[in-house]
Amino acid sequence: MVRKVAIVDTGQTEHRKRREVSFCGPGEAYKPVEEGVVERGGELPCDPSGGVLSTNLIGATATIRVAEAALQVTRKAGAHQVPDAETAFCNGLGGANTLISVMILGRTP
Amino acid sequence: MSEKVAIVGVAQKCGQNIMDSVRGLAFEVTKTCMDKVGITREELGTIVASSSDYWQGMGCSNVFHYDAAAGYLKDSTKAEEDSGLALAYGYMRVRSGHFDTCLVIGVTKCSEIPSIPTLTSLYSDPLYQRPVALEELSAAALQANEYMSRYRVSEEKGAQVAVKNLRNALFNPNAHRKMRITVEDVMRSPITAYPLRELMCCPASDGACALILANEKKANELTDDPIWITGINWRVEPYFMGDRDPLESRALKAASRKAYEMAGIKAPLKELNVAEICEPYAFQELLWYEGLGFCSEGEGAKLLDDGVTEMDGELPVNPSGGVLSTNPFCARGAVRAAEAALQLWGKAGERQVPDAEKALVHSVHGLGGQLHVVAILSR
Repeated sequence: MVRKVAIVDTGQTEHRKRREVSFCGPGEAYKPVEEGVVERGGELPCDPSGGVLSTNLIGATATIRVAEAALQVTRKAGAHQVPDAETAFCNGLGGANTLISVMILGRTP
Repeated sequence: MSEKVAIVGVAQKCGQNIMDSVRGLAFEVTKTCMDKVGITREELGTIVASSSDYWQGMGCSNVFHYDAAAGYLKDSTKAEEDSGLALAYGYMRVRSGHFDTCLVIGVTKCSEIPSIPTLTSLYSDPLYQRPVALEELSAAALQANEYMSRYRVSEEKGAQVAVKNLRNALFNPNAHRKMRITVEDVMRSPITAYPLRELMCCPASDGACALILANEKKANELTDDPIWITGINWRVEPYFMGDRDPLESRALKAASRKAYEMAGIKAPLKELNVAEICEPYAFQELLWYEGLGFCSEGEGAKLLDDGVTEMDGELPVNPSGGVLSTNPFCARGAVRAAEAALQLWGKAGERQVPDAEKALVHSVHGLGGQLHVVAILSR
């Protein structure tokens, strides 16, 4: 299990994506939500920014995910900082989930 | 990081109202190009597609033809609208060292969508430029009027460009419009937007074009005859037509000078053997001669009069017939590159320029030439 990851994710399909990047088994995406794993303070905080369910600029949405992830790993995320974030996952999507881009940001090269 | 990037294969299919879908066209040129090069889908590094939501009549145009262009579950991306930009993007992806090969593909079926003026009016903002009917054709007409008036050039000079390019197209099996005509014939064709007449304006064509790029190591594995991209650049001018001098071609000058610098070209007219440029409207070919530094400002028509850019001239421009002959909108930049590569391979058939060693590729986008891409290809 990857430790200290801040998932900075798109909101609309959060369950689906949590499943597809294999943070949990198929059909089990609800479990990390129920167990608080993806809450702030959980093992894998997801969308500390509020995600796309909170703010959706369409074309700029994926870039914002990268920016938020960068803020997290550089510890500049202010009041929504995940403590000691070392590695962050972010992604964008296009079409009807046809095109997916994934980026991992880390403090070490 | 790879220092050198080559074109190792090209394929195109262009014409009028081709009875195949966008997916079908994309598949055909992709498959043909990959078979020619002898590369499998699994081997292919990345794909850069160029199409447009406007020019395909649907959002996320690329999702419709990715899989047809070898992109299924592969690293693939899109350069909106201009496949000249897709060439630049593909070049950079190979140069980055992440990929050893890249398939560049452009596709548009103009026969399935509204007219060029209708679609390009959507380029104009809804508050200032669209209400005064500024679109690609009317912008080119304003530009042509200014060209004629400032440099005291007659309407017939635009007609001469059409005569040259439509005649060249007679020898291009992928040409949409090909004609053996006179300046008088062009002048008799109906006015579309003064001073432009029907035969001085690009047609609306169907077509697709694929290019395979490779780094030095892979290129030498795939072919004995790679065509090197020795220079490439692009620049963009201000959006509002009123904010720029339509004859200054600042973006074209900057892009070409950078491409020349990369390729070590000092005297383009002398050092280049052939040029494939994007001239949707006849006077633009003259203006681009000037912007590309083939001659000084206002001298474009003189270059044409002296026969310099004819098939047997010092620098033949658009042996393919150019965009005045064939205009598969998003694919036209890639078509220029494919045609230039064919010239350097000596595979341009009846439109071959003898012993071509260095070629220029040009692509344009936006109203009055807002964005220009320039690439130099070399044997």
